[in-house]
Amino acid sequence: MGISWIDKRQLINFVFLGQFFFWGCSSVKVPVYPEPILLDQNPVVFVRYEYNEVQLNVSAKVVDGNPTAYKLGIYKVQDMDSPLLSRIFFPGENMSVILPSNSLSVEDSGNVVIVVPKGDDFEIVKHYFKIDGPGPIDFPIANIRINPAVLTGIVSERIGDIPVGGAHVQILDSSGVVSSTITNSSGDFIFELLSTFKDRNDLYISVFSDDQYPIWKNTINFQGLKLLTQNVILGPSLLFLKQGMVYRVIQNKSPLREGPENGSQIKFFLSRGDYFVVEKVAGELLFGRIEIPIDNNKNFEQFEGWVQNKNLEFIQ
Amino acid sequence: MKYFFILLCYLSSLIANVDIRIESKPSSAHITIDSKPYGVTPLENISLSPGFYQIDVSLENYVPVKYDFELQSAGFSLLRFQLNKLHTVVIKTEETGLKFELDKKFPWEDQQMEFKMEEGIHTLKVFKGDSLIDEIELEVIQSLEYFFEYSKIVE
Repeated sequence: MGISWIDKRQLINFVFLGQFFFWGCSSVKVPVYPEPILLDQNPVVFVRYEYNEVQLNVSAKVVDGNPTAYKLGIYKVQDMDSPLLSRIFFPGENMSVILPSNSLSVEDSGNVVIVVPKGDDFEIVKHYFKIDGPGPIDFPIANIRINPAVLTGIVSERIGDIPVGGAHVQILDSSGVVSSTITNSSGDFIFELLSTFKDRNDLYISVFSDDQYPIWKNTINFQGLKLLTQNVILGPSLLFLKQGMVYRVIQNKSPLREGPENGSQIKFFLSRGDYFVVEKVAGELLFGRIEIPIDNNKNFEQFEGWVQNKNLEFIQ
Repeated sequence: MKYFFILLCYLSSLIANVDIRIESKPSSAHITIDSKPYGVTPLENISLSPGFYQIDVSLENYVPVKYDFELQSAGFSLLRFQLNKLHTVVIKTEETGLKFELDKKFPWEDQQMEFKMEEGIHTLKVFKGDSLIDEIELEVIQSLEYFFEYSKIVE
């Protein structure tokens, strides 16, 4: 062989050295660590939401007083301790707030907007609402007033203490009717009057019940307080009715006269609905008595006299 | 009537769902949500109902991200992942009988070792026997070779 002069061992060494010179140290493979070396940091993630929005529009009308500001609070009814939003508005500012729709309840009356006027003893206004979706919600005008003077009472019949439903109750002053209402089936009535009424002493209450009883009247005076109760008892006492045949006056201003003769002196005029207990009859004239409440409707006084039959209606 | 109810159900499900856009920096990362592949970033118009999801983000030579995510009820949501790069780092020494440890939990004893290391500051500890002989902060911001010389410390 032509290359027999080259020793086989030298040939191997030559090839090895040649490769080493050509490839360098990289021919020796570096071991690779089996797992990546991580820093165990939390991933850096940016999250942004875009919510559908609900715009809540509240408007206020001052009825009584001068509020200095309004505190507007939006609550979920199930969490009244933590408002979703609370903000102060000044009079004249547009009370409008925007909330993400998912923050509000879709349940009936699941949310409430509360308006707290500042500056005096104002009434707090609440509007309950639910949301059906994004968009504006316009609430009814909030009437801003100082906590009212409240008059409550029950109208009942004297005999049997039976409640009188449907009775007309009025608050009046010298200029006429201030406010009026009708009793419910339990005989209850309630008036909410402007706070200034608590200091007035020219008021009176009037109650009438479809000619069944005469008109009942009494003065009312809150004496500076904001709550007054005035119960009303209509009708004659049982003792009075047992004194004879019972008639009811059907004509206003029916004269009660001293004697049966023409031109006899008029003691006073009877009102429609007054009860008249008859003891004797002389032609077209009936003699009997009438019961008049005195001492602020606590006691009664009876008066005798003559009344024309045409002005009376027999009851029993 | 049956089709009406099917349509109603479909519409109500659309109303409840949230449109999502997923981005990553760099882009072209693979996204899987609850093990279901969705494609590569940027991804748009993914519609999911509010709830809990696991989002996996992977891109070669970057640290994979596993993100547990509560999707809230909203009109739209954007998720942007900032991915951290992995660099190739070779640590070498001519010394013998040394033990090395990276970040207190990756040990080795070889004279050279190649790593895939997350960009950032790592701690290299060198032991001889049980004794700590050096502690080095390695700031990895690119691929590099680090040569450890024990003799310098002895001097």
